[in-house]
Amino acid sequence: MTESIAAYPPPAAVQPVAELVPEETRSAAERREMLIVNGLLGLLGILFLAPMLWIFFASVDSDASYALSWPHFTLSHFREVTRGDFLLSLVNTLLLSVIASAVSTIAAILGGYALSRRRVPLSDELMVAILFLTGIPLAIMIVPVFQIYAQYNLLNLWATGVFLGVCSLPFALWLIKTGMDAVPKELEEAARIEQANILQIILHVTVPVALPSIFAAIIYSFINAWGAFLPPLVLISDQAQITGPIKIYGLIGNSDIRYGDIAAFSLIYSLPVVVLYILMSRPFSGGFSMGGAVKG
Amino acid sequence: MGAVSIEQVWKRFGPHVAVSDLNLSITDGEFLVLLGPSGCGKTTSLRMLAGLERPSTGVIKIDDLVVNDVPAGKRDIAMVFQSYALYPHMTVRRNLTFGPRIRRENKAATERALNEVVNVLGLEALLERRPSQLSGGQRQRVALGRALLRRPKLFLMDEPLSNLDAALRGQVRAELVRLHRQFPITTVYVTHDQVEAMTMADKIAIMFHGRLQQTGTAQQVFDDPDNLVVATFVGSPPMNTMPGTLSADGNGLSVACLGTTIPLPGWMGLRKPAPLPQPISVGIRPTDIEVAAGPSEGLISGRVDVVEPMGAETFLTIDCGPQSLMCRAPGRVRMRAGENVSLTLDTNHLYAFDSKTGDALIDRSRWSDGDVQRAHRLEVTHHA
Repeated sequence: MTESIAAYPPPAAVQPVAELVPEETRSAAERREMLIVNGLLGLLGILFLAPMLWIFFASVDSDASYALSWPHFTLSHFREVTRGDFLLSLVNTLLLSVIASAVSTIAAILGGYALSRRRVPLSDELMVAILFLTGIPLAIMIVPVFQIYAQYNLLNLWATGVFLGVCSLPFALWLIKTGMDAVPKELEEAARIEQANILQIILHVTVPVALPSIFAAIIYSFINAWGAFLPPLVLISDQAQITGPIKIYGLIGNSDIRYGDIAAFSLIYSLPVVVLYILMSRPFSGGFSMGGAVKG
Repeated sequence: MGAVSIEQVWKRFGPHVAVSDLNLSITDGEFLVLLGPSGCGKTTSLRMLAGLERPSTGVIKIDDLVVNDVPAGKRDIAMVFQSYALYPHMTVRRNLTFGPRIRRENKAATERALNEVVNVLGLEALLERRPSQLSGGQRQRVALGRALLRRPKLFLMDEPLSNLDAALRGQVRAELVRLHRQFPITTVYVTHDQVEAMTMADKIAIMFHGRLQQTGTAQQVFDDPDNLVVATFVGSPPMNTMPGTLSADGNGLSVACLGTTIPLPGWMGLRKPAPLPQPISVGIRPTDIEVAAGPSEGLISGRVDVVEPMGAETFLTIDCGPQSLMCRAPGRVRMRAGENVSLTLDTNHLYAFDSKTGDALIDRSRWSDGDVQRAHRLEVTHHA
C-alpha cells in the first residue's frame, strides 16, 4: 500500500488514503481481505435487521407466526391494538416515564451540581460508589421494595414512577455531574457578581450550558422507564394502571401467542422513543457548544 | 465613588500562602494595575476584592465600608474575566442585559443603558449573535460592555487582553484608556504584561511571591525601583545586574564593579544609614549603556557576543570578563559578534541593591530633570 502511494505526489492530509489508490493498484490479497470484512459486516447487518423486518411483516400479516415470511396484508392487528385499553396502557407508560425521568433528572441536577461545585467530603469515593450502584440488578431489590410499597399502600403507577426514577438516578447523576464539570467556573462567578442567587445561577447559567448532558440523562431515564417490565408488573396492582410491556405480556396466552398483535403494538410502542430521539438529537449532539464561553 | 482600601490582608490555601500582608489603597477614579508574574497572588487579590474569595485575615473596604462579609453581588462591582465568561447559550443582547434582568431593574432604563454601551463599543451589528459566532476581539468588547452596563463603583479586570493577538491587544489597550477617560470608574486591572501596565496605569502595584513590592506611577517604578525584584521585572530587556561593592569617601559614593571604580553623581545619597563599604548588586539598564566600536583607554572593554537587530534598535549582549551585559544600540549600528567594544555607563542611572535583601540602597529623591541635562557621562577610570 505504501509503495503505491509513493508513486503519487504527497497525499493531501484530508483525503482518505483509499481514494488515492486506484482500483487496479490494490493487490489481490487486499481485495480478498476487503471481501471477507465486508461480507462479515453484511452478515451481521442482516442478523440485526431480521427482527425489525419480522416486526414490520408480522404487524400486517393476517397469518403472523414466529417465522419471518412475506405478509398476507391486513390492518386488523393495528385495529386490535389501538382499542381503548391498549391506548390506556400507552398513556400509563408515558405517565410512568415522565414521572421517572422528572424525578431522576431533577434530583441528578441538584445532586450533580453539589458534587461538581461544592467541596463534598469523599466525593470521589462517593462517585465510584454511585457508579457501582448502577450495577445492582433490579431483581435483588424488587421483593423488598414490593413489601415496603405494600406496607405503605403505594402499589400504584405514581409510586412506581418514582421508584424507576430512583433506579436511573445513579447513572443520570454521573452524566450530569460530568457535564457540569465542563461548565467553566467563571460563568457562574460572572453571574454571582451580577447578584444572581444560587438557584438563578443553576437555572440560567449552569443548566443551559450543561444541557447536552441533561438531555442525555432525560433520554436515559425515560427509556429506562418506558421499557421497564418487572417493576410495573410487580408494583402496579390496579389493572387500569398497567403499562405497555405488561399489556404485551398479556398477549402471550396459555394456548396461543398473538404474534401479529404483539408486532403491531410493539411498533406503536416504539414510536415515542424514536420521536424523543429526533427531538433531542440537536441539543444532544452539542448544539450549545462551549464556544465563546471561554477563549475560542 | 469607589475608593478601595486593603489592609493587612492575608490569603492562605491550606499551607500555601497566596497573598501575604497586602496593604493597598486606591483612590476614586484611579486606574490601578496589579502587575506580577503568574502565581504572584495578583489574581487572588483581585478575587478577594470581587468577593469571590474571602481573605484569611485582614480587612477590605470599599468607600470606607468593610466588605469582607458582603457577597460579590452586593459590592456594586463589575468584572471582566480573562476567559470573558460570556454565557454561550445567550445572544449578545441577553448577555449584556443578564445582570439587569436578574436584578429586575427598570426595563426602559436598561434599554437606555444598553443603547449607550452598544454605541460606545460599536456592538450594534452583533446584538443578536451568540458568543460562538464572535471573534476574540468582539467577545472582549461584549465582556467589557457587560461590565460597563452596570456602571459599577469598581471595575475589576483579570488579564482581559491575554487572549487577543498582539495587534488587537494594542488597539484594545488604547480603547480601554479612552473608555476610562470617558467613564472615570475606579479600575483594578491585573496583568503580567508590563507594557499594559506601563501604558495604562495611573498607578502600578507590583506583586511577587504574594507580597506587594512597590506601588507608584509607571515612571516611578521604572526609574526608582524599591528593590531588585522590581528593578529586574520592569523594563524590557531587563536591567543588567552584577556583583559589586558600594563605598564612600570624601567625594561621595562610588561603586566598584567590572574591575573598575565608578564614582556616583553628587545628588545620590543613601536611603538609610548603612555600613560601608558593603557588597551589593549593581544594576544598569540596557538603555543606559553606550557602546562604541573598538577598545578605548579608560573605558570598560568587552566583546560582542550576540547581536539582536530589532529594526529601530539593536540589542547587543556584551561579554565583559565574567559578566555579560545587555546593551541597546541604535538600529543601524554595524556590530558583529566577536568585535571588541568599549562601554560607557550613564552613572545617573546606576542602581545599587543590598546583595542579601535586594533592597535599593540609593536615595534618588534629589534627582530631577534638571540633573539630567546637567548630567555628564562620567568617564570610568580603571582601577590601579
